[in-house]
Amino acid sequence: MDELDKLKGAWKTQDYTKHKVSTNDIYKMLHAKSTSYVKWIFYISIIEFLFIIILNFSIDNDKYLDFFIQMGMESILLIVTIFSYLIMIIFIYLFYKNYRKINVDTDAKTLMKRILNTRKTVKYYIYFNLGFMAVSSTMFLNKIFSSSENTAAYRLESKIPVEFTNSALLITLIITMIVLIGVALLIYRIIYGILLRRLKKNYKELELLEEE
Amino acid sequence: MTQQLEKQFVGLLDEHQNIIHKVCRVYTNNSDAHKDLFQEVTIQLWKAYPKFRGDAKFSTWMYRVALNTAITLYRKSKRQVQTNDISDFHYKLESQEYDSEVDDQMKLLYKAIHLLSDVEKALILLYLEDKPYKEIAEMMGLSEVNARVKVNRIKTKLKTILNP
Repeated sequence: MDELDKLKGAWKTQDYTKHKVSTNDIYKMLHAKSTSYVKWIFYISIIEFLFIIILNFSIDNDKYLDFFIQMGMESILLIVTIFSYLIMIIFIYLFYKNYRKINVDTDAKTLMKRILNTRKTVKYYIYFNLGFMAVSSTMFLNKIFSSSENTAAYRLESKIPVEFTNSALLITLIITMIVLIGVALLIYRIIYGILLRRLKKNYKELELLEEE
Repeated sequence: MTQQLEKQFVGLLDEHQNIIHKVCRVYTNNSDAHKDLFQEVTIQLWKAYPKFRGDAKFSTWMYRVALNTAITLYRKSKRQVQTNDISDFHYKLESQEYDSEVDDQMKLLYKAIHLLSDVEKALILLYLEDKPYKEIAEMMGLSEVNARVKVNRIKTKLKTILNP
């Protein structure tokens, strides 16, 4: 019998009476607020979805609509809007479906995997939106600079000074687009990393054990 | 109906609350953090209780939920890192069993366990609780062979710490 086996006996006879929680306190605990990690993940994910929805609505205002109509892009705008809402509904459904699968009485590895999958749904939605933003901005720039009339209309609408050449304007718009998307991606990666650091570490450890 | 379920649950939890204390003891290092985790485990158990069908023993189900809460759901608060003084929160052995040498070894064992990773803590706790490897593997989502291999590795690691 090894040393740890001997300690098993002592382990089992540890006395917890000093720390015993009364039944009264247990009743109170049943109605206390949970600080569970999953609850936080749920709230943060909802905030992320709401953020994207609000962002979509804030872009979809009359000023931009007029400009798109002027550019002859209203049909594209309609298709793009319907498509983005459809994608949003699909992602929210997938998120809810994955979230419902999180069950505390499954085994540790399955629980971790399900939480990670739920977060992955949100992550892919954010990536989709950033990609979508990049593609639609590129299409928009292409349309603006495809004819001198469109460029002139955009310059007038955005009150661009005459000394600012078209090439300088194009470069500025491209750089702004890249920086905005890059910063959004970076901030998201940092938040995502902090939120899932411990969970990912534990899941990796269990996965490595199965690979050995 | 809910009141009856509450009463039944509180009774069972009270009877088996040592399990939660053991899990809390392994995953926290001071009494405030211990209380926080105890409360979170209780909330999670209560939330999951309506789905408890009695296929497993209540105590086995409790270990599963308590460990999942400690490893995955519990957000470590600032209170967790305030102290790592083992004597601040040490459980004495039952008086009739008291042996100062064993007591010292238990203190050292806890110190060593606190150096392990979250997953390793769960595995060694289940081993010390004398759970069969099949059950340990099922709780952690591992194969029985891998659970056995890992527990043996942790045992070696602990022995090195206990006998420097």
